[in-house]
Amino acid sequence: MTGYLFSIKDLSKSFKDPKNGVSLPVLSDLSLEIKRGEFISIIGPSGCGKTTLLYHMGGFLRPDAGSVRYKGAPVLAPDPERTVIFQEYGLFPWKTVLGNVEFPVKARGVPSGERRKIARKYINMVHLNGFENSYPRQLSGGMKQRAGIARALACRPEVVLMDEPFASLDNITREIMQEEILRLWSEVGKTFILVTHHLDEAIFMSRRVIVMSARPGRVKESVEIDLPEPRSPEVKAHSRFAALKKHLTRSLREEVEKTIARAKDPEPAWDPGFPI
Amino acid sequence: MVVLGLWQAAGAAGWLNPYLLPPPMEIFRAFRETAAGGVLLGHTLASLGRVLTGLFYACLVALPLGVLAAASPRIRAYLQPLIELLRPIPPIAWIPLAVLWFGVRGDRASNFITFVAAFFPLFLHTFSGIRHIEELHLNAAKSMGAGRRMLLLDVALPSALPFIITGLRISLGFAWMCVIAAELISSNSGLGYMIEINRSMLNTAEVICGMITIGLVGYLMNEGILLLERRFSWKPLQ
Repeated sequence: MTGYLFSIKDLSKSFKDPKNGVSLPVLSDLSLEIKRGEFISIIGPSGCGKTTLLYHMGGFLRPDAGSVRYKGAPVLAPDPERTVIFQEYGLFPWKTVLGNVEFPVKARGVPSGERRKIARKYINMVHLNGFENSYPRQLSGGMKQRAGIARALACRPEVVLMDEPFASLDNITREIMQEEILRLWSEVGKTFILVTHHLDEAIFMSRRVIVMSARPGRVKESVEIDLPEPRSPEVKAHSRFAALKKHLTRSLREEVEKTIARAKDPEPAWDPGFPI
Repeated sequence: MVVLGLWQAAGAAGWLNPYLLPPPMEIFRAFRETAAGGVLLGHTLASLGRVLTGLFYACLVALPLGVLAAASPRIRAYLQPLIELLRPIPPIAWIPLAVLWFGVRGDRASNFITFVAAFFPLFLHTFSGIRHIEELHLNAAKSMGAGRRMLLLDVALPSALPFIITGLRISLGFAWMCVIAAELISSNSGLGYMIEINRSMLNTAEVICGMITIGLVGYLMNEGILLLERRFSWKPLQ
């Protein structure tokens, strides 16, 4: 089959308003291919279906039309190989950091003694040692996110899908976590897919940025980020960074303006149950 | 203290009919006497035993049923009308039937009443606890490869635990009230029996002494579960 890790072809998805049955197309004929080991960001105006696309890759949603293939086979259900870091991390508040990180290890049937050792390895990897027995509510935003990342890595994923993972962090913590994730990416050599609406973040972290069009979302363009490696905060001062940012800003702006123009027309406003 | 003093004084002055409202010292005497012979303790333990037995069976039935009703729309469709039909019937109204089924002697009729009393709060709280699981937690668990067993034991039940413990507290308090009522009618031991038998002998001080014990035990049980709630609840209580 194809050599791509993900191959998405003509994906369409609409959500039906449960009250009046009006259906709202969120994704329309979206095609995208992702190679193994890529770090790729998906940006687009809010409501363009970024999260919907990510949920299809994660296996939480099924396409109305078209296909989402992973390693050549259609994606039918969630799988630890394609792990997701959610906006609010989805940590279990009734489990300690250790309990949370042990969860995926337990799910694949590792006996309890060994489970602990494996979990500690990932906790150390995100520098959260010393907080094994803390509950999520006792952690700061950045630490919660570290715990979420440790738990995701404990799934031994092939792909890490991240849905606005820095949304609730302050600026400094956000930058630290961006570098941290880049470090982990180069260490574990897996595929990372990031949904964000932060341009700087997308350019700084990715090898490729996908710009989505206004709803119904499709791929507007795919931009290779040819910045020096390994990435360090200095690349943000690079002239190439500025050029890429200028180009992407214009591209994204066009789509945001379309969204705003459309918002002036009355349109069904409702909540599909998660951010689209 | 002032009220107790006035009450005692009024009793001593002969303004109160001792058969209707004996003075505090008289009630205190009743306490000492019933406690000394172990009578009070015996009756208290008898009542407590019935409450705990009923609660135990209620847990056995209500927890799995609550989980099933929350997880399966089919089972919910069958159970809900039945539960909503039975729930408005006060447990006390089951006493005549319980007596017919299980007889006046022994604990079984009272156990049955405490079971009925404890069942509904426990069922409803388990049900809504499981229904309140956040989609995010379920999705996270599934994406980490959790099977049905882990979804139930590591996600659904701990997530619902704060609700379940609250249900337990309400059940316990309600079962405690109902066991006293059941013992008034169909028993030969327990605090309800003790106040009823003393009423028939016009030992009003013993009646009040029994009532105070009922209040005290109920209070202590509630405090105990509140402690449990604080210990096992991952959700900060409001």
